[in-house]
Amino acid sequence: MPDAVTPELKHALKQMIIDECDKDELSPTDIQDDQALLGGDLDLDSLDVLQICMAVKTQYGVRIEGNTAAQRALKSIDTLADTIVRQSTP
Amino acid sequence: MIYLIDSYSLLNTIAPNADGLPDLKAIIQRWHGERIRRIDRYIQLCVAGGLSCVAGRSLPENTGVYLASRNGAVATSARAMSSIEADGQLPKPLHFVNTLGNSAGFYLTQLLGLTGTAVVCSAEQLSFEAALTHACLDLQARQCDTALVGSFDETPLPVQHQRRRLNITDSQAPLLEGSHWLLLSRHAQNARAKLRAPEYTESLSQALRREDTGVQLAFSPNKAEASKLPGSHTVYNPVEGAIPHGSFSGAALVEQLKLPCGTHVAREGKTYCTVRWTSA
Amino acid sequence: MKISIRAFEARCSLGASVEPAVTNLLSGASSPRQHTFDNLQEPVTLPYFSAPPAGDFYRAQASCLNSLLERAQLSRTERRRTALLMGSSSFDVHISESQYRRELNTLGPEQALPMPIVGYGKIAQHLADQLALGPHRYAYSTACTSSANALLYAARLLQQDQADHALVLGCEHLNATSALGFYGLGLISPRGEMAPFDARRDGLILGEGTGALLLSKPSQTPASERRWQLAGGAIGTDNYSLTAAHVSGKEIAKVIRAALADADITAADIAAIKLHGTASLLNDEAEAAALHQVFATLPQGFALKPYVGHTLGACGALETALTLGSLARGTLPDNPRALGDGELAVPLLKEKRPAQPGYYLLNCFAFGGNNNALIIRDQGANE
Repeated sequence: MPDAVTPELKHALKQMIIDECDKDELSPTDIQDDQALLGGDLDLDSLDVLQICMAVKTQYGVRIEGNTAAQRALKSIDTLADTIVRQSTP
Repeated sequence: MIYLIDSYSLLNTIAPNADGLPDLKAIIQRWHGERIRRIDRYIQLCVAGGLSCVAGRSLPENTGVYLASRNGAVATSARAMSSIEADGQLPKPLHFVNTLGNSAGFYLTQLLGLTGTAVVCSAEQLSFEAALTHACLDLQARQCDTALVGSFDETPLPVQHQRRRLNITDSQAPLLEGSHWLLLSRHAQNARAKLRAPEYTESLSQALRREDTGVQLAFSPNKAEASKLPGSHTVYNPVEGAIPHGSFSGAALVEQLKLPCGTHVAREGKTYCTVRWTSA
Repeated sequence: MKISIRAFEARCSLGASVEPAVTNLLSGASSPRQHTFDNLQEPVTLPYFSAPPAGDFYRAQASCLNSLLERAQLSRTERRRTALLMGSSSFDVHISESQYRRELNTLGPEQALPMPIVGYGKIAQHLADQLALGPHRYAYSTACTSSANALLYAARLLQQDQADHALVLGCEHLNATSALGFYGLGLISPRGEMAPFDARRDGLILGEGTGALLLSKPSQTPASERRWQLAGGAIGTDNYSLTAAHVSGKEIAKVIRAALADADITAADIAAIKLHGTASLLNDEAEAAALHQVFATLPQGFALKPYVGHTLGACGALETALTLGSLARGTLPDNPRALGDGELAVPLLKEKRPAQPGYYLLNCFAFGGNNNALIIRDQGANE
């Protein structure tokens, strides 16, 4: 489990979003750390949110439950990485 | 009266040892430039076939969409099942929604801007004919003026898994995947042929009449059946050694529709289904 | 031509057959049980409306259909003029799952075959062979509208003389794919209570069951069995989103209006509505919006899913059978626990009301934007 927000973690999260949401046309470098994941250029919808949350749970053991928590965690790659590190650090 | 405006058929042979499937994206991209994400092979077959049959026409919003599949979204259903049973995980949301019956039609109707009747039906070897029967019911009752009819079935990899599902014991038999479509109208404008609604009977001698021409069977007749065939006929056999499965009868009908007038007969159990057409 | 509904049967959490089920429905006796999916790495327990066990799945469907044929005393010749239309969202996937589970244990994950049983139409084909029915044998796979669509096309087949009678079967059996799929989408009520059109609604509860109906052309129906008609219906497509109706309700309103037109009646003729009412946030909003567009004053409404759960592909046939069973007793079902929601303004019946002869609207909507509305006519017991 990651214990710090690192560039590697953020890169892995970008790749995870590309894979899970079938955004093959993108590469991790196309997504900025602070770019809005929802409602912005990425055009992710509620189904993508569920898909990403389930992948985060499987890969990092971190639960993001409920719509409000998901919206908060998935603001950007930065907030997603923070959420994962905060919840996996005892 | 029901008129045939256009037809389209895509039939791919999947070799017994195939480790990949033919590309469908180029076919879709011809009609829709933007890549459609989150669609699996089964939905791609629907979209590729449907868009190719419509071929850029603008259809009335209340065009009926009559879809059939004999086996449905097998690959994605298998993935959802193995997530749960083998991995002990919840099925991924995108996998689960793509196992549902309407998902393929959702993407197609969205791309074509259609909001009328849509239905997905299945009837074993007469699945394509089932969709056609439903379209004819609605056209004849004037529920719609235009109908898009399509049947599609995938051959998921690995091939030996699908052979077991289909109970095909010949390990050298190639499998098929396909997507077969008709565009029908109540109006004669630009029509290729006049089509009669499918007729169902329990005897081959009733399924065919002496005056039928261009008779093609979508099945190999057994001895008893062969003796009852009134005149000349052909048997649809597009790929040597392939055992009919999936939407095979749809492939047969669309192929025979290249003739200006003809007769198509398919069989399931004791039931024969005949479709006849004449030039418009 | 208005098609007669001569006989119906239901099996669901309320009872093993339609009579006890309707008795329990009208006495308000129903609550979900818990089902645990314990071969997950983290077991999941969900509320679920289980139906009484019925033994072998295939035999249970056959005996249910056969009971309708016997009730109507259809002769061998009449059976040959009978179509079979079956709707389900999962068919026999629960049997596929258990075969796969067995193979995982005996052969291991490399050899075990996931989704071993394919062919949506297999069950209808076998049932029709077994019951010696005619050649029209269709399976419908349009998720939650599957058996509602089967009902509509049964009527259309008969109207066009393709058959004299039609058996319609909607069935759904507990399976991990559907239950965990809905859970994964966050659609199962965390509170474990279905509260359609209520401000407290937080999702649905799934259920299993079977609904079966026998339809006949009026000319082939004895006068004593002509009380109920399938007077009309329509299907429409809302391709706004794969998993939710457009909250404007525009496409749902369109399908309801098309159903009214098909039955040759107006909105004012509707005596009551059997709501779809899944208690999910957006879909109730869309259904409410549509009703306010179609009806100047909303007729009485009731929802059956709080009693039997969302039975997915079976709900069209099952909820139609339960509605007819209630009308047969002269009573409209109620939802006494519903508080209502000021915003949605779809008041559900708080207490049982006498049912009058007239037209009833039955709503049924599905994932993937497939919407169905049916109109049933009750001509009253004495006509």
